[in-house]
Amino acid sequence: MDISKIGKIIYGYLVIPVWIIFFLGTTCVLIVLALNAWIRTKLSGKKASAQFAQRSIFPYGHI
Amino acid sequence: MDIFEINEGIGGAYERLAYSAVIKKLAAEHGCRSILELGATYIAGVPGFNSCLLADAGFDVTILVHPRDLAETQAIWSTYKTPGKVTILEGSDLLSTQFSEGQFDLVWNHLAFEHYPQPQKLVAEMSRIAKKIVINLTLSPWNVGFPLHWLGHKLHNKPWDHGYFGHTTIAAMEKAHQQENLVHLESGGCDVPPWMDTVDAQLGGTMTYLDYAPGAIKKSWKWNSVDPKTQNHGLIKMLLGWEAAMPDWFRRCAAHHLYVASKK
Repeated sequence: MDISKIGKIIYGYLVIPVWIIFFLGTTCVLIVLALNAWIRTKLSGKKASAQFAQRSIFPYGHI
Repeated sequence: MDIFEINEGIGGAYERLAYSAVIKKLAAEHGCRSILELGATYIAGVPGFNSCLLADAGFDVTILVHPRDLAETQAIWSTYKTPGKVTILEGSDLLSTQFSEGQFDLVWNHLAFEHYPQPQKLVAEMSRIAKKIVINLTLSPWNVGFPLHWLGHKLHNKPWDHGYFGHTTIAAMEKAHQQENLVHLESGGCDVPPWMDTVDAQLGGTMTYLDYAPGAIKKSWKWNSVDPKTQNHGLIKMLLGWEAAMPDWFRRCAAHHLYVASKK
């Protein structure tokens, strides 16, 4: 196995802890955004409108 | 509607870029020209938009859309000029379609497989109309967001509309492909950003979660997978680079989607 392949494998494993730190950070951000949305809807009584009406992902039903 | 005005959110845009990269790679490796998305789904809050990056890459794309989403899908695509030819057709039965045997080089769908009690019937139809490659993608049950989303359905008394748990796995897809005598090409996880998959959960009525943020932040946080600004954004490139580098076992554990690709 050449050096570049070993380097790629090591980099791939080093990415994992960084990914996990980012994941924890984005989870905190999602919690803050959820709280913000909840508070804003409670205060204003209005919900934001999505660009497309909400619906099920899969419209074809269970066959 | 101008296609560039759609805000998919960073999750929606990243998702399309990630799974499209897998499909484009396989299509290029096997000389595919025509691609059918059998059963377009409402992914990342936009109807019938899943194949946008395949058309953008120059493939001739046909999309079979359910009557429910047809008008909106046609409206979205009508403003989008792509190098590849795009055909949008109406269809509500994915197990028995109007297409002839081997009509398309590659047949794929996104989050359709797990909805069928006998998914091999879907694979059988995909195999019949595919000339070279069949690809199925499912919603990964291993992502942290999956059980939370299931809990959200329970708490809100909303019927579960994401298919059978047992059919979301790579093993289930591989089994169905084997039953149709397809030859295994590759399988794995794709769409592995460092955030949980919120699936189609809404925050206060919207899936682009900064809609309640101050106007300046909301306006600047716009992501659209066909927009070169999104495609070339440093953050997107960095995360796609991480995804490509990480070990296969981690991708399978942390991905938002699992896939199996086979050839005829």
